[in-house]
Amino acid sequence: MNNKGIVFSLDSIFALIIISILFLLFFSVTTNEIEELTNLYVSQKISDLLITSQFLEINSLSQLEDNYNKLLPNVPGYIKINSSQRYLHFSKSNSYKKLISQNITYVNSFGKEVYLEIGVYS
Amino acid sequence: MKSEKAQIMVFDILITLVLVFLVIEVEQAYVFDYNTQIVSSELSLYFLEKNLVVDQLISDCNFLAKYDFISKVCYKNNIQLSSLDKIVFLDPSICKLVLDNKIIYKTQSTIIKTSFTRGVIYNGSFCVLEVDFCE
Repeated sequence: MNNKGIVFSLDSIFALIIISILFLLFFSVTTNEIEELTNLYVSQKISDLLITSQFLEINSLSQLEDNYNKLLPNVPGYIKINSSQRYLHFSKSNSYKKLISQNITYVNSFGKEVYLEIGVYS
Repeated sequence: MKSEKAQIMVFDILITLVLVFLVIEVEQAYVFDYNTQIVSSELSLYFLEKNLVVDQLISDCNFLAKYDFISKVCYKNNIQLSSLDKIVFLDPSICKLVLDNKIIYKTQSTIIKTSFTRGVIYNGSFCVLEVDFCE
């Protein structure tokens, strides 16, 4: 008779532990929201740089670097036009957690294929 | 025998209730701050909503995006300022637009709640457009 009572208590403890774990999982998802939104914002800025560079047919790293610094001041990253690449505000001593990058290839008015890539570290 | 059984049942229920109460208290006090979570979610939604407004602002030819009447093409990230007065219809909380440090649109509201910067082309050159939202 006593055993039944113990089983009842143990059951309730297990149920509570499972509910607690579910709560933990649910809230750990919501806390990532802000990080995801920040990543979206950075992606939009990279996209802006790529679209405008294509429209203006930017083919020099210095010009693209100027635009990058205007839109993403002091943000570590890199820019790449065809095979030339330049790192900006990048420090090897820092261990960056994440890289967001995008690239496009387009044909300019001279009929030449241009590859553009921009990456941002966080 | 029956009274002994009933006593065990009551004792079990009491222990269960105490445990439920303790777990909820611990979760509320040490693990989660429910109010903070709710406020955080509301802020995230607000940020996302305004972010989409800014995106529409620079990609919709009813607002700032440039429309080429000859080719009948609407250019994203390429802006013109002829429809500045229509911005209020997109979102009345937009209170200031700054294009490369030059204010191009401003309302009477001054308390800025959030701000976005985007890269655009204006008059054939790259510019940074800052969009401020007020309370």
